[in-house]
Amino acid sequence: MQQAYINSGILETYVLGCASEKEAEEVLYMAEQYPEIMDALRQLEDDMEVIAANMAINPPPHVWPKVERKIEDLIRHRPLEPALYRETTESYRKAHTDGSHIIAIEGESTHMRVHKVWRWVFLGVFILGKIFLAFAIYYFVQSMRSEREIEKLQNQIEQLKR
Amino acid sequence: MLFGYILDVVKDEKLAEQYLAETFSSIPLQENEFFTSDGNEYCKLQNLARTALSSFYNSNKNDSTENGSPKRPNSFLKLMTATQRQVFCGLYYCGKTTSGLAAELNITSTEVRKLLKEAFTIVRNNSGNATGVH
Repeated sequence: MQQAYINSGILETYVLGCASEKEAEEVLYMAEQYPEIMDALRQLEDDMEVIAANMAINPPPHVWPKVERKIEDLIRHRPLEPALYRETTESYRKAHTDGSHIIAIEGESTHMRVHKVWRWVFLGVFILGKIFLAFAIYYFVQSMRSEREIEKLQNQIEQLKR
Repeated sequence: MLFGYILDVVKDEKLAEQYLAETFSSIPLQENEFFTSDGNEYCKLQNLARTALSSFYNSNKNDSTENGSPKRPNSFLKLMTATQRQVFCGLYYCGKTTSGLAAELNITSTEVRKLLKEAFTIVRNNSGNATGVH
């Protein structure tokens, strides 16, 4: 029976990647059940490598940096996996069934990330602060000067009175 | 090896480079399946390449020029009969399904699989004295 299955050519269609989903599942099941089928499958995979090696050529050297860049980009911008969301909702559910309505969140990082627009807001606040400081110094000096003038005038008035 | 396969499918070096980059960059997206499943690493890579090439296969579905045979000389294909070659190239280079190819050649899917088996036997029996393009 196993030999008939091997001779049917279904394993060849599987290694070529042109078997239907149902056929592929069947091949994997049969390979798991019967070691002869697994051996035949491994041998066919080796044959595939022989076919490819027979026509192998090296890709141009500039292709690899492009591939590396693409992979790095993908790793950097990897989307959040749904599993992570499920874990969160599971922990949320557990917290509720335990009777506690508070989920303790503790961040390990000592830094925080803010939106880029805050850079301009901080810059604006800094410049305004400097302007107010300049005005404050200017009016302080002015008031000191006026006080000194008033004092001088009062002295003169007193001298005139005498 | 994979670049040679893709080049034989698309028959254009620039396009082959793009598909090769696409194939390798799809590995991180399917890393669990790729690294945890058993089997030959090259076959897994080729399956990823076939997925990347699926749109190319579909756009060239009706192009029966030379039955998808590669431009470069292939010592294994020379040893096959015309029908074996047609089946092997249709499935391997053109990404056709067995049922689709059977309908195209007006034979049954069982016959397609039998012809494919014969083609693989030719490859296995001549793998020692193969002279391909390197």
